[in-house]
Amino acid sequence: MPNGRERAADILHGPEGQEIYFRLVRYADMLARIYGWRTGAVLPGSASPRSIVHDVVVKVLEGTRSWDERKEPALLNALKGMVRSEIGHLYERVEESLVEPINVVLPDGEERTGDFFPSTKLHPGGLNPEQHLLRQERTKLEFAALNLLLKEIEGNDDLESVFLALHETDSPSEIAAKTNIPIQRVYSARRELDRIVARIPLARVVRTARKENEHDRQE
Amino acid sequence: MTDKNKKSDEVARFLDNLMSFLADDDLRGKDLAEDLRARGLNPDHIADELRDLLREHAPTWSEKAERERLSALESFTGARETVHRPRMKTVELIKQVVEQMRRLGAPVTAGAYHQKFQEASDTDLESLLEDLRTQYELLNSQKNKDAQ
Repeated sequence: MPNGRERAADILHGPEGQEIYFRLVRYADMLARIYGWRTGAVLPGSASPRSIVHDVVVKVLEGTRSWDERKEPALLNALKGMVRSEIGHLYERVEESLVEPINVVLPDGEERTGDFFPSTKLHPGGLNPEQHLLRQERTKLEFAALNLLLKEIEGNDDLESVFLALHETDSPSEIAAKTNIPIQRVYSARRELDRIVARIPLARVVRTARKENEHDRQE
Repeated sequence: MTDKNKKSDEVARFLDNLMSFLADDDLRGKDLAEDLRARGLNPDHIADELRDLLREHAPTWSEKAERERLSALESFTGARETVHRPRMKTVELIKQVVEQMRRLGAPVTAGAYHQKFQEASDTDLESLLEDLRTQYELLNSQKNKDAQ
């Protein structure tokens, strides 16, 4: 029986090989975009969704990453898992490098120290001030992304229903059941949502988050 | 948990679900290529990338055979270039090629080469042998063509 490496090579050489590769690039592009929104950063170094897909496939073909067909029979799904893990690690490293000094004088003259972060006083085992700050930043970016998405889907009933259901589940069949929308229309909404996601650049999310931040400070 | 934390957890969960929801797609063929274009990605370049990647890291039997053929050819050429023959053997080989050329009707002045054998370095002799072989192969192929 051929090993995962040989099987992967056979499949990629076969009639579905190109489609698998295209879909993988598309998936990496979507993931990198949403991770980017959430961290306010692009992929570090010279990495791109395409280069990540390329490297993952090379690793599988060379045997440095293994595909166990008994555990995951679909090569595309196995590769997607690897791509997701690679992109996740890269963004974790970005977050680790985004540590802001705690002891600073804010623009309004107020001095910020570790005491500025109440959670560390109340929960000493919880997030440290730097992690707390990162989490705050991330939350602002996530809210900004959510608001931009909301604006884009406004007026489209199916999209609005799917959007709401996504707060509870990621499964198309469960979304169909929750919203009473036929599954084919859920799939159409997915395609539309995917196009909307691809249209929202990172810069727009960062700009929106900054504006909302300024607005909050003024209040 | 404060309201703010609860809300931020909800948004994080929404985005996690969105990523999983969008992970699957039912696009095929032209639609898939079109979708890549809409993302600013060139499907032709991506297809080339896959082809190159497979050729390098998972070559087919015919690609492997071609690669081995080229590598053998290179090593053969290299070996021919670096082989160290005794001087007398090279002279003998030159004489053989000259004789073969003479049989083909090519006017080769043996005396001129004889002079060279005395003065030339080993490298010059190897070079002369190479040169004569090439000339012989050309003459031979021309003669075969004429015969047809």
